[in-house]
This record gives sequence, C-alpha cells and structure tokens, in this order.
Amino acid sequence: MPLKQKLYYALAILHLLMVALFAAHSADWGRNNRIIKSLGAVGNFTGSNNIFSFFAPGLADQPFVVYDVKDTTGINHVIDLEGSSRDFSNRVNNIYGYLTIPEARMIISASLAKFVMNECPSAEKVRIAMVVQKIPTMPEFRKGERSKWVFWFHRDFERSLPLASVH
Amino acid sequence: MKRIASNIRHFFIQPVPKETLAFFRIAISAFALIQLVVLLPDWMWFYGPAGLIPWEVSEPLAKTHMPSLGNIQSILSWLHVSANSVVYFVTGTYVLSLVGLLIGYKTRLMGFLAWLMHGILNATGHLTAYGVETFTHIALFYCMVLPVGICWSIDSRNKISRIPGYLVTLSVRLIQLHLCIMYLSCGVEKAMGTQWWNGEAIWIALQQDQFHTVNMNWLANFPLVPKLLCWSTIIIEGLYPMGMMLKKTRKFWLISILSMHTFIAVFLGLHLFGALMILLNISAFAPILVQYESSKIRGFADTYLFRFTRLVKIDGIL
Repeated sequence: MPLKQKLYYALAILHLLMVALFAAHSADWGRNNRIIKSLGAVGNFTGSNNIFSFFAPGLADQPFVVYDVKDTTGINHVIDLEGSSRDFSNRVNNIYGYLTIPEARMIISASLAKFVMNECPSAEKVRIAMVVQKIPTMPEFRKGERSKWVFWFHRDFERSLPLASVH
Repeated sequence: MKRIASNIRHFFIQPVPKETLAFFRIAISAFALIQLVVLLPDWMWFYGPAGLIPWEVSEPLAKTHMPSLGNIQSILSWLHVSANSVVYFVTGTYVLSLVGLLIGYKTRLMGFLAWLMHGILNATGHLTAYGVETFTHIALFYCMVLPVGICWSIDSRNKISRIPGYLVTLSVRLIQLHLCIMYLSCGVEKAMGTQWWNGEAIWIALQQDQFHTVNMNWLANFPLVPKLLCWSTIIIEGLYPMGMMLKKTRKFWLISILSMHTFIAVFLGLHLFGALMILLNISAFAPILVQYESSKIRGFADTYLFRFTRLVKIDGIL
C-alpha cells in the first residue's frame, strides 16, 4: 500500500475516532484538559466534536416568551415574534431554551427586549415574561389534566434605560 | 480473526459507485440553497447586527473557533464596510459557492467557500442554530475534503479523473461510518432515558407547542402506540450500524430510518431537519443498495434466462 494511501486511511480513522469520542461526551471528561480542548478546537472545523442527544435522554418542559409592550400612549400590547417559515419558530425557541440557564437569563432577555424595541418604534417599555409549558403524562391526561403554561420569571426594560427593574 | 480482518479490508477496498459522492454533493448543496431561500425573509433577524441576538452578545458566547461576521467586519474595517454589508457579502459568497458546488465547478474551492461561509454565519447565529446546522456543517466539510466532484460535474467533463478507486470507497465509508456513530450514539442516549421506555417522549414531543402540528390527543388512550414508536426508535437508531452494514437488512433499515425522519418532518414540523437527514441517508446508502439490488436482479434474470434458453434448445425451437 503506498504511503499516500496509508496517510488517507490514518486521517479517516483519526477523524472517526474523534467523532466517536465526542459523541461519547469525551468533552465532559476533562473540561480543562489541554488535549481534549485542542481536539475540540479541531472538531469545530471538521464537525467531529458533536454530541448527538436529540430529544435524549428525555424532553424537558418547553419555554416560551411573552412580550408585553407598552407604547408612548400608555397602551399595552402583547406581541409574538413571527417569522416567514416554520423554521423561524424552531430557531426562536432555541433562543428561549437559553433562558432556562440562570446565568444567561439577563443578557438574553435584554437582547430580546432591544430587538422588540427596534421592531416597535412606539414602544416605551417591554416586559419579557418567560412561561413554561407543563405537559401532563398520558395517565394524567386520561384523568382529565391538560397542558398548562406556568409563569417562570419576567424582566422589565425601558427605552431610555437598559434595565428598569428586575423581579 | 483472519476472517474479521479480511472482511474489514474488503469493506474499505470493495469498489463503490462513484456516483454516490456526486449524489451527496448535489443533495447537500441543493438542500443548503433551499434552506437559504426558506430562511432568507428572516435572514437579518438571525444573522444581522441588530438581529434577535446582537453580535456583541452572540459572538463572545460562541464556542467555535470559526471567524464570525464581526471578525470579518473588523478585518474589512479599513474599507469602512458597514455591518449589514458584511452579512450581504458573506451570504452572497455562500450562495455563489453553493451554486458552484451544485454544478461541480471548481468543486474543491466551492466546497471550501461554502463550508467557510456557513461556519462564519453560524459563529454569529449559533444561538438560533439547531441540529440542522450541525449536519449541514459536517456535510459541507465532507464536500470540501472528499472528491465529490468526481462525476456529474463540470470539473469531471473538462479533465480525466485521476482519483483512485480506493479513495472513492474510503470517502463513502467515511460518510457511512459517521452516520453509524451518530445514530448509535442517539440510540444509546435515548435508551438511557425513562421517557423513551414508557412512551412519554413521543407523547410530550407531539404535545409541545413548538412541535404541535396535528392533534394527537387520542394517543393517551392507546399508550401502547407511543411506547412502540419509542422502542422502535431506540432499535432503529441503536442498531443502525448493524442494520445498515448487513446486506440483508440494509433495505429494511434504510426504509425504517427514512420513515422515522419523515414522521419527524411531518408530525413535529422539523421539515428542514427531516429533509436533510433523509438526503444524508439516501446519498450515503441508496446507491450501494441500488447496486446490490440490481446485481441481484441481474443474477436472477441471468439464471432464469439461461434455464429458459436451455429449455427452448432442448425442445428444438432454437
């Protein structure tokens, strides 16, 4: 077997090994490990540093955001972010997923509030309220329980000030 | 032991149709173009400097080492290029590179540009990205490094292919094995959750407002149905490597996995994700399956044609 061929096989094996290692959550084995960090950096380019846990091990409650906009005349409007495609809501829901992380809550809320203010020039205040959909189990559903939205938190923002109050 | 080694060698040396790689290239570039057209009306909301998540927030949170749109703007600062112009420039380059990849014109360069532009866009818009972007990135990386322009391309018309057969086989095996690892991992991770054993995973997914497209409340009265769907998902995904590698089960497994992704696309509204996974599976395994099935049909036809002509000869007609 020529050297070039051997090299191609070696690279392919190395790549697949990385795919398997990262799929097995090797990134969690040593967060400060230099080798794993370097491999992760390479994997960013080659697509070999992914974890494939779609809907696994289970599904969590689904977060959603309600935007309560108060305009300059003092009237409140509840708005929803709507895009042109079904994929838009999939992507926006991805952002809402980050709101479940307490450390990310403030910065993501502020970003969304800024976006809503830009889209609604008459808006003076925006309340970002996060709700979570609680889905009953199948036995609970048979007993008459239905899915409900549970309030999680809210943040208020004013146009002149980035943050008016935090609750 | 010798037999195992020989089978492994055979697996990596056995010729595979080169059209597999061409189909992969066309499928991925066509998909990425369609995805772009679908997302284009909301493009600036995802990737624009004043989008849903502004650059100054999204870019520092990125875990990737890919350059971002903000980085490109900094590089081009001496030209006084606006942030919006950077998005238009990167998007335009992405479109052109995908068209180039689709028709197979300067395939390697176009593959590289498509992969880079996709990476740049998603280094900025990573908070809105989900599984579909992960697989597009992986597929575009393969379009960049593998000889996907070997046929059905402008490049292959202009020059005689010097790509050795082993490289075609290795390339196809690489894509197939990547899919195998991915599905095995998915299957194992699902098997570790109780929701996938009691059927609640499918039930919850179908009830979630994000995915709710069809009223499936009746499932609660027939809990065996979601339970069977969950179990079959674990089996199809967890045993995917075995099912796809064995010639006898390949057809059944491919139909099963395509059905699963069609279900996801239709009932969970993940149209783009479902379509991409269907295309990846078809492009990785269908040409080999067609080759195997056609050889079986040819063998069958040859056998019976031989018997028929012998009978005719015996009867003295010919």
